[in-house]
Amino acid sequence: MSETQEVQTTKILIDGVEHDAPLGGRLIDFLQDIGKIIPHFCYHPGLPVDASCRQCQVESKGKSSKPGLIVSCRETIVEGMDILTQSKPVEEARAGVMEFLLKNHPLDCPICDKAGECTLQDNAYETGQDHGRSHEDRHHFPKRKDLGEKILLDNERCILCRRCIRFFDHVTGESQLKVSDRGERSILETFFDEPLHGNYQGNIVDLCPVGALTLKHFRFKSRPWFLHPTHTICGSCSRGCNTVVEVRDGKILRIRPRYNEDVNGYWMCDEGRLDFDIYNQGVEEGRLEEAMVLGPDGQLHRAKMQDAIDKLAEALVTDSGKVILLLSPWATQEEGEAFHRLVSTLDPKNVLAGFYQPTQSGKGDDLLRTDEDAPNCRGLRETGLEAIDEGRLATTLEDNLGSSTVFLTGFGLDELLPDTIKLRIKGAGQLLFHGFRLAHFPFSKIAMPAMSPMEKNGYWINQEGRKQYLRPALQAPGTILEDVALYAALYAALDARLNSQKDLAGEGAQA
Amino acid sequence: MSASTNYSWPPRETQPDHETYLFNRVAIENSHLLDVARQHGAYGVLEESLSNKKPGEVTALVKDSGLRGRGGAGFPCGFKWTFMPKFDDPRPRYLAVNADESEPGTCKDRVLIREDPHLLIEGILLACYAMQCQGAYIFIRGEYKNECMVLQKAIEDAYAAGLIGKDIMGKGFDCDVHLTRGAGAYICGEETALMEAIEGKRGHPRPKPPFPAGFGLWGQPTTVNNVETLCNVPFIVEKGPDWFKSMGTEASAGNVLSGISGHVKTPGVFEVPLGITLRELIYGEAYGGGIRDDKQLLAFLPGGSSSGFLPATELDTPLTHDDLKSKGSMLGTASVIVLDEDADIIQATRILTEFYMDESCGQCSQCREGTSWLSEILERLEHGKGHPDDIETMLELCLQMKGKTICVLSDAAAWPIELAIKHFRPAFEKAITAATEEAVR
Amino acid sequence: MKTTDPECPLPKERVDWWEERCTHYPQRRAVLLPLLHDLQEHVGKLDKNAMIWAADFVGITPVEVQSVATFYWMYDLEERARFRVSVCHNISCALRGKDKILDVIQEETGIEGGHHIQHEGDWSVRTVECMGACSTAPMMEINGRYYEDLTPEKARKVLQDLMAGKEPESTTPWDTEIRPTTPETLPALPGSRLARSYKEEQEASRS
Repeated sequence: MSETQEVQTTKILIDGVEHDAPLGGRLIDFLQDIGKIIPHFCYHPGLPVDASCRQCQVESKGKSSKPGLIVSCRETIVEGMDILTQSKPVEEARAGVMEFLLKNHPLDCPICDKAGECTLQDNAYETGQDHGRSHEDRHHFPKRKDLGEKILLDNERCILCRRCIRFFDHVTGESQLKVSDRGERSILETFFDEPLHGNYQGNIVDLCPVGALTLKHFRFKSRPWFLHPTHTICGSCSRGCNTVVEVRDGKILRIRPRYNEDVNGYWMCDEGRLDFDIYNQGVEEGRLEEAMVLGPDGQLHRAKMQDAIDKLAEALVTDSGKVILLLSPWATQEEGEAFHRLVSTLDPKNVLAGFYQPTQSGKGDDLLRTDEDAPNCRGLRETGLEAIDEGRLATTLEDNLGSSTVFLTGFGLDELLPDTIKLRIKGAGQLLFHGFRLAHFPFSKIAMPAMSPMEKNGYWINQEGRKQYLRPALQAPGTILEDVALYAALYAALDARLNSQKDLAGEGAQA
Repeated sequence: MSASTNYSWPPRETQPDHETYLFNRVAIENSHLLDVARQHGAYGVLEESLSNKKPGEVTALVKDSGLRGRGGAGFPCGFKWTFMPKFDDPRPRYLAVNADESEPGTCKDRVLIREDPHLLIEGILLACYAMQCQGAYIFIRGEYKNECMVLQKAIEDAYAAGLIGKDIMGKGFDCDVHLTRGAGAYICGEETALMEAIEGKRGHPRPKPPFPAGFGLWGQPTTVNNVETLCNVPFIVEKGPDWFKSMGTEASAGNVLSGISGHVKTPGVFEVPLGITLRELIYGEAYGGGIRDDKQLLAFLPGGSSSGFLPATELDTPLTHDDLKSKGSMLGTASVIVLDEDADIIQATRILTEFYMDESCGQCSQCREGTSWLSEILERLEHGKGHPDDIETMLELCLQMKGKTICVLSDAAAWPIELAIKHFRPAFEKAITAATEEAVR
Repeated sequence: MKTTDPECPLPKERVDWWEERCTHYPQRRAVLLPLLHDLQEHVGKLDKNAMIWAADFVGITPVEVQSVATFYWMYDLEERARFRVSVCHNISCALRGKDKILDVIQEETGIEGGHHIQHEGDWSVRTVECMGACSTAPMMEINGRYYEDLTPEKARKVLQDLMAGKEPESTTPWDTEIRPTTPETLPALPGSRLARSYKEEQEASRS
């Protein structure tokens, strides 16, 4: 939406107060923009309007599609509108809808994941009656219906808002969920109970206003009010979806999308949503927390950070053989710039330095996922670093088998490198590793601990060229240096070494 | 047009004491076949109109006649036709014919379709000519399998004779008629749900606005008309508005097909002038013939299930839109259902409410949950298990089900309950007292 | 993601007929309701394969076909009995003795008719909503044919005739046998039709 586009406005009355409202705009959006509470279930700004829950009713005293109670989600703003959002008929209508929805809704709150962030709870509290008067049994439907690896469905809790249906129909473009039967027998289901497929299933859990659709990954893990949210960016690909990372007791429990009109809308893919177990790994699971150096016994031993840095610097200024310095495309701009400065001190003659450009993965789709499996390739290119792709890397490694020094640096690089590259690295002269876990490269000569993107500040530039900021959701162990600090220290160590070499050379020349 | 007169189905020997036109061909043997129908006047009005009248003239005739829809809503037919866009609008335009007759008590369109399908087809073609529709889509309820096959054959015979299709009767008007058979859902009788069903989807009513004339079948301008309404059109075009207004009343002109069922001696479907009293319909020898076994009347529904119950004190109400509305009821489909003194009003109310529960499409919260909740309360009351707050609860639920949903099925479910409680409250209270006494014992 | 390629449940001439029928509407989907009736007649019920095939044919997903098929009560997703009896239990039929008819049906078939369909041998019975035979109540519908103006005796005769392999006579003064008498639920093949199709129109407008 261009800010320069002129939006025509018209004067309308809301609760007796005159407002300038966008002509042709949606009434519910405008009412919420000016701070009115309009409870609703089926309406969602990212989906086509359904107008079936009937909860968003307001009263019209002026010009509108019909007089009296109208549903604000379907109503377009016209001149001469006079809307009441808090009159007695509105209150009664809202309480009426709530009563109907609660009559059969199971009393699952104590065990339902949605409690605390449930629209039904919130609206019942705000607009419902304070007592139930049904003498009838509640209707029973299947609970805990398995919809595949990611989602669980509870048909009893479902209030048939059909947001999930509209999501698959209109956002992913392939229908997967539909209502079968009709009336009070209506039931949400897939075709013959087949599991859901696709990379966007998690969004229907965000959309579901109640606990009917729940994420298996989060089931029974925590009450939402114990979660500490951080606004950051997803790094699984170069789209840069905005996220909310929710943490409890130092562990990420859930990731959800954060609305950004220009990047990801209301959605994110399941890969980014669910692949966060790695960030929660500690020493027991193999995370590097301290610098390690290969000892004479052929085992890695803990070393002082500065000693390790010195040894690293020593290995990088070796005369013999090619030196390959490869930065992870997960690195932030700040890290990229520091790394660039670092590699510029080295003699370009026998050095191949740059960031790893992953091969197009083919995982890209029409929606959000791109073909680039890392978040900051474009950004790193803009720092002036060279993009080194799989082919170039393979050739260089091949040509220097047994004699090369390979420095892999930054979170995520070890996971990204294909197996063929990993094999060739095994044949390198020596491997210097700076990363999250040693699992892939246990034969490293030096292993330095790195922070994950969940522990950093910094910014990435997504494939469209948008700068987006990371914020740390977790705190890295105190023994780990930030990547930028590491590069600075390495730069200092390299600088000292090179200067002393020059001095030696100078002295030698003089001698 | 034919000279024979017949006012009832099944046909009766007795001659009607008023003019009839709708049922004039139904008693003729093989009247569903094209040559027989043509012998008795079918398509004569169409030929004359295509030759000598402009489309706008046909619309004006129907509008001036005061013909109101016979499907239940009673909206002025000719006026509805004027909602279609101007003829220079390039979009395709359609007529959707509502043959989904599913309102409990109603079985009159069925007779017309099965016994005189060419009357319907002629009415359709005249309507399409008036509105310049390029095609008509008839949606017939799936249960009417026999009627569907008769109508399909009639359409094919008409095509073969050049009465439908390209250049009808050589008069330069092109129009197609298609028949879609439904699969069992009352809600498909609602005009927007009808269009959804024709399009091959679930019968979910669409919110209005937009109205069908602006956004109808496949998003194009469409008018939806009932079978009986369209069957009136050839007569109006032939004989003129004044003739039509000479029958019925000022605000409810013409004849109507009134089906009478329930506890009467001689049930049937009768062509009667609007304005006839319910007393005449129920007790008249020519019509219902009085209550079975000469019992007393308990209640009647004047216009199908949605019109709700009226007591015997309202028997002298004329069968018109306004008179019935003033009694808190409606003309609806003019199908009269009669309950005698032995009938259980609560059971009758429960049967109707369960019908609405079964037929609700399930979109709107109030209708989906309300129809079933009300059914459950009535089921308890019917079996003497009432609670003291049941009546108040039902009335409050009914209030929340009216005027707040996408379509009026929700309202229609509420009306019979409200009227039953209004006119027969003691019966409900008795059911509650009996339950309370039982509980105390 | 495409589900496994479905087997075509209809004979080729029938598929051709439906292809032609698709041209009567601006969208192919509009043939879905009648198509499902036809599939049901040929296959015996709307099974998974039939729904997938229908979905492919009209260009929608199988789950949408399932959604439509379960909305309308006339579509059977379970195996159908040889004789399928439906008795209206709505107001006019209730007032005129549908209970007695259900009793007779139970005596003859052993099935107690209720809201949910019940099977016993060759027979199935269910109660349904208003069938449009109110002035000739009570009624029952068996395999698409209406039997109206019933008394317990008339109903019994119909059932016994069917059990003996005979075509029952009409229970009303007029004939309710399906006419014209063609065995299929659908009309004749398109040879006699002069209908203008949307395809022709599109071609005409292009030239």
